[in-house]
Amino acid sequence: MRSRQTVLSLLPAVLFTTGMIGLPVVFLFVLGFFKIERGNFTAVPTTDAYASIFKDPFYLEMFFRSLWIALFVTFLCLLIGYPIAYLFYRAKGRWKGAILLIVLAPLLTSTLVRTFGWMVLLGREGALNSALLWLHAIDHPVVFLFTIKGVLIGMTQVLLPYMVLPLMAALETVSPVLEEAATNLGASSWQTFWRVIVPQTLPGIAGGVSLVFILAFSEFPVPALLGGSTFKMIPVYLYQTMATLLDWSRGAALASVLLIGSGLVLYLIQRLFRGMTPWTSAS
Amino acid sequence: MDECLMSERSSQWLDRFGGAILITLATVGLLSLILPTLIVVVESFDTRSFIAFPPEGFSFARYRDVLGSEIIVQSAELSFLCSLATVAIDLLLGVPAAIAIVRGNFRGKDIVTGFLLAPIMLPGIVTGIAILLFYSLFGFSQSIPLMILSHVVFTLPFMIRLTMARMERTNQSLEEAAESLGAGQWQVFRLILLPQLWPGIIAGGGFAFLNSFDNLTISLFTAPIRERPLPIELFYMTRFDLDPRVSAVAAIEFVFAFALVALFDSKLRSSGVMKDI
Repeated sequence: MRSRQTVLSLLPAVLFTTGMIGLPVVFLFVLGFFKIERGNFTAVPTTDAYASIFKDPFYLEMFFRSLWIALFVTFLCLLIGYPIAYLFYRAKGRWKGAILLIVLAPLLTSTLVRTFGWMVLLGREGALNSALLWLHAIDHPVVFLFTIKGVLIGMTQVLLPYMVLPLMAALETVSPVLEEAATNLGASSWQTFWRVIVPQTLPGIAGGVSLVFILAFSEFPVPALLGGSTFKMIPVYLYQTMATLLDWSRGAALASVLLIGSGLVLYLIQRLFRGMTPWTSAS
Repeated sequence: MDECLMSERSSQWLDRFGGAILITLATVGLLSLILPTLIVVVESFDTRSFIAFPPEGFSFARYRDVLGSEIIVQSAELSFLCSLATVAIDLLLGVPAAIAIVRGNFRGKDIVTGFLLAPIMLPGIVTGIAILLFYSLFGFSQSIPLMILSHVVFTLPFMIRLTMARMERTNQSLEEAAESLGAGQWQVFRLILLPQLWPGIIAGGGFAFLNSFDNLTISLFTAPIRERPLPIELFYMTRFDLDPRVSAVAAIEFVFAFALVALFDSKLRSSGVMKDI
């Protein structure tokens, strides 16, 4: 390709990305330092928005609660997602297709629809309570909706495919020769799984964990609907701040904190996994 | 000594039950992936005017209500048209960029590629707020064009990545052969390159369409207040009480998405594009 042609092909996409999201994100950090009233930007510099976030224990508590929820959801996704990917790896023919379909199907339905499904499932007169009452496992309906239990269940399900897909791809690269060698040398089936197969998929685990964490830390519809509009998590409160309180400068500051916080945790996750997989840094 | 015994015992225990634990966890996971959607579809035929499970009768009442509701139908139409526009812009910006990245030879290629794919890693709520704040500074308020452009922001990386993945597998000697036989640049693009690229383009476009159609978080900040796209309408319908009509909308959406995939599935699968996603 000629160089002029290359530039002409790339320029529209680069200009668009710069103007539509590059500059807005840079300005987001800056805007938190100015006073914005009801959408009217004033050139009065102030550190009020950032100061109130870092001084108020309310925000600190919310930040760590969001972090805790996101990390716990990521852990649950890994705990349930790895067995699914492994089952896919072991399955053959029709079963393989069926598992792939079940994992991909939720990606085709909107998060909103699936969240609504959980509201039907977890409600006072929902499917889960009906089933448990019918089985006489409980006497009174359990309250799931608008509690942290419901939010954790819903977020895990909504984000599960994003964990399973990278794991499936990672398991595809596992070498069957090593597995045979381990078996021949007398390793039990669990030892082969835990000490031969899982370590080979660590890069895939790192990918899935990073992706699910980012999505969980900023997930909005699930906590807003299953946890209620006052659920204490950054994205829910951020929406409140922007849409109901119309406090745009605090919104900008809070969004910046969310972005920097998730970037920081992401960096730590990647470092942790790089330490566990020294062989990948060589390539 | 004790430790050795312990680890041996626990490993024996895991040998026996490890497989069963894995299968149980996988089953719970797979069930949780399909159950909510299935339950919504079943519940959508209920006769009652509120949400409860199991349903007490069978009727199409909720579907009639949905199709009779001007607000829902209009918001679905709006979402559909906006998603089409989003995909069209994705194609115009993304396909040339993907070709240039793979074929071009220039300095800072990795940086440009990383920059173009980066918006995918931004949390949706941050993207929405950043666009809203930046453009209201210049007097552009929430509107349909702003919403479409904000959808292009997070769907363009899909389009570029999937087209790039196809592009990397094309055979450059075919283009050279065509050129040496006297084909013009446009002819090479249309007759040689495009037929090889289309599985990636369709997968990218389909993915972009569904993601745009379903997007709530970014639209909440960029969509106009009066004319609402479908996800926002559904969000308001579920936020304060469970509007039973949502179950019917959900069922329709589900069938629609499945039909779209079934339409292209066999062709896309044979071309191996699934691996690129």
